Amino acid sequence: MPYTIPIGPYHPALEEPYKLSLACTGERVDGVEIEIGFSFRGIELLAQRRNYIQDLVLVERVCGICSNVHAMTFAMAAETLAGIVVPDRARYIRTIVAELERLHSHLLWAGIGAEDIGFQSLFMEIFYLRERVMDLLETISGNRVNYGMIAIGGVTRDLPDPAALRAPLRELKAALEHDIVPVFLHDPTVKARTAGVGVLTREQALAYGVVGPFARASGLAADIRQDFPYAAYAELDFHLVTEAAGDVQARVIVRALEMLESIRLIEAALDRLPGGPLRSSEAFPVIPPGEVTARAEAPRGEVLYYLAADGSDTPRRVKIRTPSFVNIPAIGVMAVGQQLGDMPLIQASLDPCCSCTDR
Amino acid sequence: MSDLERLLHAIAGEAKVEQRRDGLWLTAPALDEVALARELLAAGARLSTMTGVAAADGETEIIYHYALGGIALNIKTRTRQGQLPSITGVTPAAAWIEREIHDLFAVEFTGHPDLARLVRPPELPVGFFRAPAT
Repeated sequence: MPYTIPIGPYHPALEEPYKLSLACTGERVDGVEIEIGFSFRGIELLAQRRNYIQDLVLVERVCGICSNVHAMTFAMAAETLAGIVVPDRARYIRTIVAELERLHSHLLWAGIGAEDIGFQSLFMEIFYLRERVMDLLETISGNRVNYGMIAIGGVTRDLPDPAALRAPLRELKAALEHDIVPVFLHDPTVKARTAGVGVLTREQALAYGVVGPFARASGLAADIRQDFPYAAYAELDFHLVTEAAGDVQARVIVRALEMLESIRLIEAALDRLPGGPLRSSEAFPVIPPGEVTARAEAPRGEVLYYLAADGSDTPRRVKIRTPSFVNIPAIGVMAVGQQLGDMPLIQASLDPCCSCTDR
Repeated sequence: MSDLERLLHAIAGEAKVEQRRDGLWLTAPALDEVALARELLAAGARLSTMTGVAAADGETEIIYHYALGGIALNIKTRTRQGQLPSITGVTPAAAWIEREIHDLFAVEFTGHPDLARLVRPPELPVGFFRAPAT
């Protein structure tokens, strides 16, 4: 006899406040209704009532995990509109902070994914590694989240000691290569829980407009770092990662390999770190009237900002499109026909972020 | 003129296609939105999002933001009597995007399967982003 199970908004899998109502027959999910909006703060409206400098601080708080990419994309929009050229050293520092952010985000996701399938020791190991990344971010910016590194026209502070990043990165790479990635790729328990589960086909992925590692795991070769290169990515020989299967295992593999690519990008950026100023100017930026879009690859996928300026120090319109906003609806197709017991993992596999979705 | 620009002109008639720093921009007040969505999906373009901007006369500017490989496409139109045809039937990605614009700007997307509340807190009225900034 069919019944409906509500999951959330106090969420058993991920502490993200959104609500699913699963219509089930026995253990099989027949349909999903998704409710969001529990974290709505009206950030776009707030951003339209604050000046550009205040907005950098504001949009960094759209999300705790991908805070830097929001500030950076907002700054990129203002810089493109005003024709401001970001100095080379600042572009490289932005890249390093962005990739450290991707690393800590993917590690958080991987740890929670491990816990979802009951692999407690792997969860502990991964979160220990994640703490090494948080330490690096704290030595660079003073914070574990909300780094305050972005200025319009550059970055707010220099890397205090670039050489000191090398040893922790090497340790992290060794642990990922020897311990974590092999488990995700080859462990029979992980495979049994993830292979063939929660499939999103390539056609569905295109129609739903999904982005990020979630889309790349369904065979879509799209990544903003490749398609619309920004910061220093065009100079660092970036390689994107795709898988064809479109199941939870494919998403695990894509994120695991992306972590290794992130470390490679940071090391390459440190190798080639140019000298020079950190900002195009110390003066308050003047943003002329006009409109512009800017895109970046957040850990979860494409972040898009639309900015309309009227020449004053306050933007006329700030529109924020986060990756989770397009990814979460895909639960509706992925979950149909799946087992109820797999639902926490299926939702976790798209790495949803409700702060981003609701804004 | 590139294939893409030819395609855009075929859908939007005499509308102006501009190459700006952030990509291609097309302003077309009288646009067949559903045909646009269908053609662009067939061409492999991805709908990133739609932006609503309140206009002084009570209508709403709607900008469709697409990504086709490494090309950014921005197509601007505006509502007629507060309405615009929904493209959700062609592009499922638009379902939530149109619900949000309805919540925030009170735009009616005709033909949308379910314009229910999405992000708007229930105690606020539909279109609350239109309120003056004072």
